[in-house]
Amino acid sequence: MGLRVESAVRVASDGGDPASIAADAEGEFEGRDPGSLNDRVYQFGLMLMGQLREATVGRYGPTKSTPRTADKMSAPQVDPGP
Amino acid sequence: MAVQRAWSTLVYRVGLLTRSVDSADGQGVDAIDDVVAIVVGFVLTTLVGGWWPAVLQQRSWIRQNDVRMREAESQRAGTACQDLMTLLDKRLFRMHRLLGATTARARGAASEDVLEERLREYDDVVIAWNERLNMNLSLVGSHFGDVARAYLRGCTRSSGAWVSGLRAQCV
Repeated sequence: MGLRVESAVRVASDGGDPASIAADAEGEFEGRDPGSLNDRVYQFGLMLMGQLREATVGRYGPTKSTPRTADKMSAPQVDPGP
Repeated sequence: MAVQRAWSTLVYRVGLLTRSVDSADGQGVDAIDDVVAIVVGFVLTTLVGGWWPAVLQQRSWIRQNDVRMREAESQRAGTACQDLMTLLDKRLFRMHRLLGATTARARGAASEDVLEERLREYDDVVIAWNERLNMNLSLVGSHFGDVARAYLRGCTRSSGAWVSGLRAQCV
């Protein structure tokens, strides 16, 4: 999503019209459309708060995260930019 | 105090029995049996009486420690959750504001300064996010498990931190 917003900024800075990108991205920020970024962040928050409420966190959590399980996940990649 | 009293009683009774051993052989065997029974009873009482409260105390301590640990875990996880959600919301909000400023600027409804300000705000939060990227993932993983960590990874697939360079273009 960030990349889309940034591409809109780039289009605008090049003198183009970012309206189509903006219209496409606008729904991501509001409402509870399943799959939208806003909804995913909300669901994520609910997941964490739910675990906090049930006190199923840390060593009492549903799964124990270890370096072994972390190894199965791809490492985060960030473009450091120019 | 109780142990001392029991010991005094024991010594007294052993003394009586010893005298009875001297006085009559027939009663001597019974007296020795009594002494053994008393000594065994005393030792068992002392051992069991000391062991059982210790077990109960240890179980109580383990339970109390468990509750304390659970509270501490919840507190740490709550703090991590608040920090993370604040950062996520901030990033989402600033992204939205940047998009709004971009379209407004393209329509001529916003000045270059406004776009520049929004871009700077967005840049700040992206940098703040990326500076804590592994920290956030490992915190979520350790506090909330692999599912939550995978979800977070899905929520926030990389956004360019090249915005700083982009700002130079805008200016």
